[in-house]
Amino acid sequence: MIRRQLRVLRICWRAAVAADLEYRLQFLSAAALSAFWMVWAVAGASVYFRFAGSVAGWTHGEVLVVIGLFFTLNGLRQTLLQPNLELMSDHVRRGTLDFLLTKPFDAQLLVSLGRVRVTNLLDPALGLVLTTVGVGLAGRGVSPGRLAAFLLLLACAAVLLYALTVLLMAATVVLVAAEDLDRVSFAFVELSRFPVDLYRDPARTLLTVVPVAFLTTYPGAALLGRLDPRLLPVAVLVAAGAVALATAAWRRALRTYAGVGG
Amino acid sequence: MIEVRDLAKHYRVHRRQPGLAASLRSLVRREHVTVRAVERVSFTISAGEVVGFLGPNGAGKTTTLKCLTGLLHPTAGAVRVLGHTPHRRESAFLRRISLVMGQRNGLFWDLPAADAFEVNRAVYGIAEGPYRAALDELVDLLGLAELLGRQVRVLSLGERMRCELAGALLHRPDVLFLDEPTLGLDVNGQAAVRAFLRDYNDRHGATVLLTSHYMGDVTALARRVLVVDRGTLRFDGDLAALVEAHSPHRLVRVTLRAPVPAATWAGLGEPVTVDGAVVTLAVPRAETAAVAGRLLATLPVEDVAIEDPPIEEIIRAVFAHA
Repeated sequence: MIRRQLRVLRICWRAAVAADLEYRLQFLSAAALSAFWMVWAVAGASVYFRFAGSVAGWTHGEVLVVIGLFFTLNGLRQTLLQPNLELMSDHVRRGTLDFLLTKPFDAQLLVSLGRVRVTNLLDPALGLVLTTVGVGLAGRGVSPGRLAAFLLLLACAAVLLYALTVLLMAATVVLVAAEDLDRVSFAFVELSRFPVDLYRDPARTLLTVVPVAFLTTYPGAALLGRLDPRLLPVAVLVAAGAVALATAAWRRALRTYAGVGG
Repeated sequence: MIEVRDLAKHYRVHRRQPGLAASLRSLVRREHVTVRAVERVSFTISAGEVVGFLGPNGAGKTTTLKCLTGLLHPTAGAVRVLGHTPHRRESAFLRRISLVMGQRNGLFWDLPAADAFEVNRAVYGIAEGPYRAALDELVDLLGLAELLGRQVRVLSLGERMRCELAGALLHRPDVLFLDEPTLGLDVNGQAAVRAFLRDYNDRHGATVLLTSHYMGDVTALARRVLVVDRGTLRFDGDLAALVEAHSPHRLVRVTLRAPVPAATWAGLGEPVTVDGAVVTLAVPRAETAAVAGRLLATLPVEDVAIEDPPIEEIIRAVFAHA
């Protein structure tokens, strides 16, 4: 079953990559924009650290780690999730969702991951470079334990974003005219640009509950060795709960699906 | 094969009066109405049958079709297709059906047709041997050899429809649901699709349920028709029986050597069209043979043809009675 699913995704992705590669100029402009936004973000953060050694307990290098993770996650969102979310509204309005639902295949998987857009792949690459630079600037070594905790939390963050995408897709099935729901996903990731400790309460508590803190703050803290280890199982539970909630919402939305009239 | 008992599907839809004030009111307080798209529809279809589903727009054809494919949950009643309850969308059920809808793309739009077929192969888990055999047959029957390497998005409507049919049949479904399969196609395209479907049904004995606004699709493919109007079933039976029940007249077209006075037709039939020496008479069904005999015996006839009225007229008569 999993082999069949991977085979279908592989064929779909291969075709999407081939289609993206047709547009060289789009690639170059996306790369230039990625570099520009990263420089802008790093320069913006550096302004604060001209006047203080740390902000809310986070040093310059530590904040760069979080900003790097923001670019990594946002790049993955733009590569894997955004093209599918954009397409979902089309599927509902044009009735092509009917075809996906009458196939012996997990429709949720096909609509949420069937498309890939590789023009923004530079973002995750640059993000990881910035994260590495931030770790170096912070003067912290990286032990295998920290790396493992970091990777686990980063995977949980990706799963959280996936769950949000499925939730928004379920909303699209119900609302039909919902082309702009991708902005919700973008806003969610945008909130994670800085460590949540930089916000004041109640915003900080809210961002922990929502749970924006699980996207970049906690993975960054794990890499820097400043994470309370009790948060590891919590992150796994939050990610699993989010997927369960999103899947339930998707199934419920399909029960109310009326499709396009004929 | 397909059993439908007292099927009902109701929608609750938002109703808003026209105008800006009504729009603002609807932001605060919404008014809903229940639309009864399908109401107590029952029928059964046996294996290998080709059944035409007829009705005007909004009659409930597509809603019924969607209940049969599992896309919609019925509000009431029972639906069984191939021994399954469709809305459960069990894999074993979905592997044995296929849905084709005119002017909608089931194939992946950005892929060349051959790759789009590969996606379907992977989705249905078709082994190499049966896949090759099915693909070769479909490429041959539908004339797809030239199209396989082209992206689905760049194909003409007719070419895309042929590819859609191939993609939908690669897994050799036992039941094929066709919703307006020739919509928008030119005359040649319609004829090609009809010929293919007839041939496919002959070869594989697939059960076919077809909705179409083109009566040509129905008369070419289906012997049995279901006529629905405003959500209820008005007729279920042979196409010939439908014609007989709702058209008490047949058309007798006479070609004369020279025009004759209008009074000639008194007592023979009602002239429907008069075009010089070619006259079409509406004659009571039971008297057709006798009238034809009298025409031949009393008038300078070159040719006589007897035919049923166009099926469109008969369907209009069914809905008018309803």
